[in-house]
Formats: sequence, structure tokens, C-alpha cells
Amino acid sequence: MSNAAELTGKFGRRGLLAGAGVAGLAALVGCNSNTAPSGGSSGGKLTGALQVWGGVPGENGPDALCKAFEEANPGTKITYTRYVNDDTGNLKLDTSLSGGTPIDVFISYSPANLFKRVSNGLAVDLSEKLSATPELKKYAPGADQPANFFSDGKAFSVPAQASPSIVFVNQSMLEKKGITLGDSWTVDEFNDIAKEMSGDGVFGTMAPVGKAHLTLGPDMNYAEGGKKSNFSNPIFAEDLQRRLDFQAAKAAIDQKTVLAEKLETFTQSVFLSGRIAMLPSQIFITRYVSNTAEYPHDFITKAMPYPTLAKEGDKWSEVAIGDNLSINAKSKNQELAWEFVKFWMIEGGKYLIAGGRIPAVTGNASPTELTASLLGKDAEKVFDVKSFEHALFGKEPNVPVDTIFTAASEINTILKKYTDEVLLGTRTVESWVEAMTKDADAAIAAAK
Amino acid sequence: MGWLFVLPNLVGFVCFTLVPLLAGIGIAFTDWNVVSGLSGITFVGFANFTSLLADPQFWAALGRTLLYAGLGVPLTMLGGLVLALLLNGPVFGRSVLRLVFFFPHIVNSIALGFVWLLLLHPTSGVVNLGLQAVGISDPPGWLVSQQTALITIILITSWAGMGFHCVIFLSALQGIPTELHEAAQLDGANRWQRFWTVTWRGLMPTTTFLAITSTIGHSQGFGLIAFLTAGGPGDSSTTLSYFMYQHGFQYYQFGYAAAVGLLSALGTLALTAFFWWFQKGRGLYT
Repeated sequence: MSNAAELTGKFGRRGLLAGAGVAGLAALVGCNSNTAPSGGSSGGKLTGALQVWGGVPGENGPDALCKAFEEANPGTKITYTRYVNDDTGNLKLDTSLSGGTPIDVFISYSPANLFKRVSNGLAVDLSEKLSATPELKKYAPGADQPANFFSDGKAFSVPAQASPSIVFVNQSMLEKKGITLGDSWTVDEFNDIAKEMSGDGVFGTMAPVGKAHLTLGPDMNYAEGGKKSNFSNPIFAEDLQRRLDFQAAKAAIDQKTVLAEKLETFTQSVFLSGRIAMLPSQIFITRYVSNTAEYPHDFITKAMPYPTLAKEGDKWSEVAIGDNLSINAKSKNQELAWEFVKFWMIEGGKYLIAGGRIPAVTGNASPTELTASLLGKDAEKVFDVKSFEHALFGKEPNVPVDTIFTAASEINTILKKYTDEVLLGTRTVESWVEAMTKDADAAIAAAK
Repeated sequence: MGWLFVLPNLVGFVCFTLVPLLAGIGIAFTDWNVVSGLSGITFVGFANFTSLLADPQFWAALGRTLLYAGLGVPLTMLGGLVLALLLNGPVFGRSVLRLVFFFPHIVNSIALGFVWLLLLHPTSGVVNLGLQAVGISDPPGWLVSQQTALITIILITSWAGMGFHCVIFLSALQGIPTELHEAAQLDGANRWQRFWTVTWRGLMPTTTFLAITSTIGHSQGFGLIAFLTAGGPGDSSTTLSYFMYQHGFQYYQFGYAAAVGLLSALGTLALTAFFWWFQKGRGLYT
């Protein structure tokens, strides 16, 4: 089975938001609807126990979601097990799945891991079930706007999250510099403002915004349908050169500091300690902004939409689908597992959004309600709430859905290695292009 | 009846050592990604080994491992020996000092690594601030420089291991009969001659033991490397252990990773045999 899916897609979040219907996330505003599962194990009533493995800590939403499912379906028992979503955690899940540990539902957080599981027969084909469920048929193969990862034209998972990247801005620093931001900005405008906000020990941004992903969209690392790598495309070298220039101009944090402080993992610390003025990031950062006990800070955080190439917007947005729910092919409770997956998708959003995850299906919930749930109580003390609503929900995004994952892990490792070398000054950009192309092509060839 | 006495230990050995060892050797000759389960194991003969031998990354990692062990083992042992010789004499606060030097050995390696990360921060670490204070305007990047990352890790692991070596050397020093020193002194041997003919030879079995265990430890060195540099920057601190981890845990090439492990184990075994052969006839009692 090939890792390359048959469909390359773009789809809009509005498409995702719509259609959850009566049973949808109207629950966010207090409607506690039951999924009223049919075809349960005894006379239409669901019974039984499920083992669910996910990477989000239980207290960040999954525990409450599982409890809600149990309450909605008396006679069921859901046990949620958290695995850490890193190399060893994923291996633990994989060995458990292949070794026969009774896991019924599992969640994959990267398409590469998902396809590894799918291509080894560990997940059930959900295509028919998705097609037959009005709220979820957008995720089935053949939908007008493909919104899911497919393998050989089949859907073996369903994405619970559609996570946009936005820019977190230190409002105080902005005011100090007398800069007024509009409702949107281009990549060049963002990068210019980052330079303007730099100085006095403050870096304008963690890193400049690149153009490769916005320009190339899905599968940007691959050429010729996945047979070759795409790093010889000049846009990669331009992005890398921009990072070097920003580093040299002290407008972005230098790589030595990034490595020494492990900032690729702990980006929130430099933003909340006031060492950078702006942070382009996914929205999980909101959790840390709210946590003033652990990250004390006295400024308001404003959100801006992710920069675009053109003023009127781009073909592709910086939004990623994720949190892919699958049913274990060896599960003995597949019917109950499917009802649980449906519940997670359709009603789970209200439990998970507070943990910083924007649900793929939001039903009838308004952007204002979603933003309020995301930012939590007393949000005004640390957030410019309106700006978050605008940045997250102001414009319909076109999500680039990757379809090729050949040697994805190897390419990521090679990419990090050579990019570090350039940013540390031991390799030139030209040499980066040559080495990246050679090694990534070799990794692709070896994986075939 | 004798079998019953050895059975508990035998069961543990078979289950937790012998079977995994044989399985590891077997996997080295297969193509296996774990996710496929046992049914997905494909026998590939020596293909993993031939690929390895043609893989420049493997040779680079081997070179770094030889540097890591070749510099780290003697440095740790020498440091441990010097400390032991000092603490074996009349030193004020000897017991406290022994504890102080042994302390890094018992501290969690992640905690230890974290402290060094702070100390060696390129711009705000105490070490570089100190160097700048004495006029070195461009101090090393330590863990974030390709030129110095591996050397820095060697220094940290050596520092952390010295205390353990010191304690073992100390106990060995105290086992050397004082009569031998007295006799050598009566025969006119100077301090260096007494050390070389009595102390060093008396320490030979201990030195061999520490050389073997330390070499094995360095060939398996992973924790601090993973935490401090994750094999980087670039791949400047990717030793064989980390290379094996990458191929196993990140790329799911378990056959390839097992082949690395097997070659690494054979290399360590050869070095162990060498140490054993080398010490024969050179000690006081051998």
C-alpha cells in the first residue's frame, strides 16, 4: 500500500464548521445532546468498554469528554491512556497496537505516523461510515472538498482538529514603537515590522515568516509526485537566506540561543518573558499566555492572522489538520468505537478547545463562543480577545492537506541538521541546497 | 536439586538477557518496522550490514564514538585516579570530599545535564561570562557549536564519572599492602618508582575493570547526548548509540538499527578482550 494518497486537496474551515447540525457544537452554548447511537450491542443501547490512546493529557479535555460519553451512554466505560507524542511514545503505541494490546481507538498526531499505522493494517477503513454520517461525510473519500488524509482512496482516520497558525504580538511593545497594525498583513509587511520592533535587547520575531509553504502548499518538500525532493526550488534558499539575514540583523533569535535554550520546543518562554515582540505559532501558546502563575507577564497579547503573500490572500493558508482518530483493526468493540469516534468529532470540541485545540467540527458555535472557550475566563486580563476572534475565524482558510509522506522522518532529520549548520555559520545556503537535495533524494529512493 | 537453586536467576537471565540478545542478533538480519508486527519481519541476510558499511553516516558516527570513548575513558579514569591518590592521603575533610566527588554519579543525568546547559549557555552562561570577564571576547559555543559539542559532552561525562572511578580506585589503593611501599622505600625507590612498581601494578585489576566497564558505558552513551544536543548541532555529536536510536525510533528501521547495535557490541567485545589480554602479567597478582 502506498503512502501517497490519491487526493490532493484544499478545503475551507467554513466547510468544516458548517453541517454539524443539531447534534453539533451547539453544545458549546449549553446544549447537551446525546449522539443517540444506534445499533448498539444490546437492543440499540450501547454497552461495553473501550480503551482509547491519545497524546493530549487527560486533564486537558479527553477525561471530560470520555466522562460525557459514559454519561450519555450508561453501560459504557471509557479508559483514556495518554502516550507522549514523541519518538518513544509513538513507538510505545505502535508496539502496543501490533502486539495486540486491547486498544480500540487511537489518535495520530502526524500524517507520517498515521500512514505508518495504516499501511501496516492497524486501522479500520472508515470511508463508508464517514459517508453515511451527515456531520462527517466531508471527511469521506470523494467529498467535494477533500478534508482528510487518504490512503489508496480510503479514509482510515478522521481529523478532530483544524489548527491555524497565527501571530502572537506583544501589545505593549507595539504601542511603545507607535506601530498600528491593520486587520491583515503580508509576509513582507510582517518581516519589516519585525525589524522595526527589534532593538534594546528585543528581537522582532522568533524567526521571519517564510514563503515556501504559502507558495507551494501541500507536499512542498516533494517534486515529481514524490519521486524526488523539491529543495532545489529557489524559494527554499530564499527563505533560508532571509533567516540568516534576520539573525545577522538581530531581528530574530540566533540559532545558538535557540539550541542552547531548546526554544524550538519552548517557544512560549521567549515571548512571555518579553525577549521577542512577535511569535508566529500554532494556538497552543494560548495555554501559556493564560498561565500567569508559571509565566508571569504584564502585557496584553494581541493576535494577528498569519501573514499572506498577496494582500488579498493566498491560495494556501497556514492551517493544519490533525488529531486523527482511528479505530484499531483488532478492536473487538468496533461498533462502540465508531460511536465514540463520532461523539469525539461531533461533541468533543467543547471539551478540547480549552486545551488549545480548535475542533474540526464546531457545529453551530459562533466564533465569539469558540474564542471565549479557547481563551478561558478572565481572558481580557491577558488577551486582546477580539483580535483572537478575528485572527482565528476572520477569513476562511484553504488548508493544504499533504498527501506524500515518503521518508518524511528522514527528510525532517536531514532538514534540521543542514538548517542548523547554515544558521550556525558552518554551511552556506548554496551548499545547503546541494546537500539537502542529494540526501533527501537518497532517502526517498531508499524508502521506495 | 541444584537446578532449583539456580532456577530463579536462570529464568531471569533467559527471559531478560538471553532471549532479547538472541532476538536482537536475529533482527539485525531482517527488515522490520515493528508496526507490521512479527508477521512483517522479512529476512534480508547481510543486507543491513552491507548497507551500513556503505553508509558514510555510519562511519562518521563510528569515528565520533571512537573519539568519545577514546578520549572520555582515559580522561575519566585519569581524573578518578588522581582524585583517589589525593584523597588516599591525609587531606582535610576527606570524607566530605569523597561524597562531593561521588555526588555527580548519583544525580539524575537529566538534572545534571540541565545544570550544564545553564552553565554553558553561549551568551548568559556562567562559564562564558567568566571567560568574557577575563578578556576572551569570543568564547566557545560549547554545546551549540559543531566544533565543540562532542568535546564538551566528553568533558561533562568524564566529570560525572570521575567520582565513581575515584571510589573504586580508593578501595583498591587501600588493598595494596603497605609493606610493599615500605620495602620499596628501603630499597631506595623514589616516589615515582614506588607509584609505578607498586601502586600502579596493584591497581592493574581495578584499572582493567574500570577500563572495560567505562568503555562499555561510553559505547552505549546515549542519555546525556540525547538531552544535551540530540546528536547535533548538525550531526556533530551523533555517536553510534544516537545513530542507532535515529534509525530505530525515528525511522523505524529496526533491522538496520539492530545491525548497528550488533557491530557496536562486537567492537566493544574486541576492546574488552584486548584490555583483558593487555593487563595479563602486568599487575601485582597477575
